[in-house]
Amino acid sequence: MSEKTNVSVRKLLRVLVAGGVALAGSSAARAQDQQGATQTEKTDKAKQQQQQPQDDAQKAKAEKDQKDKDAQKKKADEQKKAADSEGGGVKGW
Amino acid sequence: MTAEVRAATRRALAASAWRFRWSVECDASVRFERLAARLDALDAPTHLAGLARRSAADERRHATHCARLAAELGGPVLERAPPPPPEVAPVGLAEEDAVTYELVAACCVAESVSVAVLTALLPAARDPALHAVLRELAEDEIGHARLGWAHLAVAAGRGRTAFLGPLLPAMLAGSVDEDLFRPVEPEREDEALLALGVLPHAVKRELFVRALEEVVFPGLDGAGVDTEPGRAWLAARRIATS
Repeated sequence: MSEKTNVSVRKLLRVLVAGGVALAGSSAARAQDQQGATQTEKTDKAKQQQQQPQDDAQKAKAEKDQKDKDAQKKKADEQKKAADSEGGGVKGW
Repeated sequence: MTAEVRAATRRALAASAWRFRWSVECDASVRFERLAARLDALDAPTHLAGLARRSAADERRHATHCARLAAELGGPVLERAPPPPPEVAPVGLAEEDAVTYELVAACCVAESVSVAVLTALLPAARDPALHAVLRELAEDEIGHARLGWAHLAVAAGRGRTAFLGPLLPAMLAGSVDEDLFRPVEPEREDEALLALGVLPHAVKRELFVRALEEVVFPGLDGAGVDTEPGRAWLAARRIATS
C-alpha cells in the first residue's frame, strides 16, 4: 500500500496544483495585463511629468515621497499587527 | 483482548473519526460560504467565487455522508451543527491577503491533505457503499483544493504571496491534531481500521508529511512563497517523532 500511496501522492501534485494553476490561467493573465497596464500608465505619466515645468516636477516628487512614506508606514503597521497574531490553520481529514 | 472487543474498539474509533469529519465538513461549508462572499467583495474572478459556493454545497452533502457513517458505526453526531469556525488569518492583514491566507490554509493545505487521505483510503475500502462515498468525496475535494491553488496563482500574479512564508509554521500547526507526531495506543494503529475508512495513526502521519513535501511545499514554492519556515517546522516535528 505504501508504494501505491507514494505514487498517488506524486500524482496529486499534477492533479491539484497544476489543475489549480490552469483554473487560474485566465484570471492570472488578466491580473498580469492589469499590472502591465498600470505600469504603462505610470510610464506615460512619468513622461508627461518630465515635460512639465520644474516646479510641477518638484511638487510631484514631494507628493510621491509622501505617498511612499505613507505606504511604508502602512506596511509597517500591517506587519506589526500581523505579528500580533500568527494566525492558525484549518483541520482536514 | 478478545476479537469481539477489538472489533468493538475499531468501530468506536471509526465512529469517532467519522464524527470528527462531520464537524470538519460542517466547518468547511460555512468557511466556503464566507469566502465566496469575500471573493465577491474583492471583485475576484467570478468563477472562483462560484467554485467556493459550489464547494460549500458539496461540504454540506459530505457532512450528511459522514453523519450517516458515524451513526452506522454506533456513534451518531450531535443534532446541532457545530458553531461557525473562526477565521484563521492573522489579525491585521489586508483583506486581500487575509482571504489568500484563509484559502491557502483551507484549500492548499487542508483540502490537499484530505485528497491524499481519501486517495489512500479508496483501495482499502472493500464495502461498495463506503467506496462510493470515498470516491464522491475525493472527486469533490480535488475541486476544493484547486480553488486554493487557483486563487494562489492569481495572488502570485499580483505579487501578493510572499507574506505567507513566515506564517506557514502557525498555519501548519493549526492544521493537525496535537498528537499527530506522537506515539498513540496500539488500537489506533490497527490496519483493520482501513476497511472502515480510517487511516492508522502512523499512516496518517506519513501521508501528511508526504503531502506537504510532495504537493503543498512545491506548490507554494511555485507561487513565490518561501517554504523554508514551513519545512523547518515539519523537520522539527519529524525529529521529535523519530
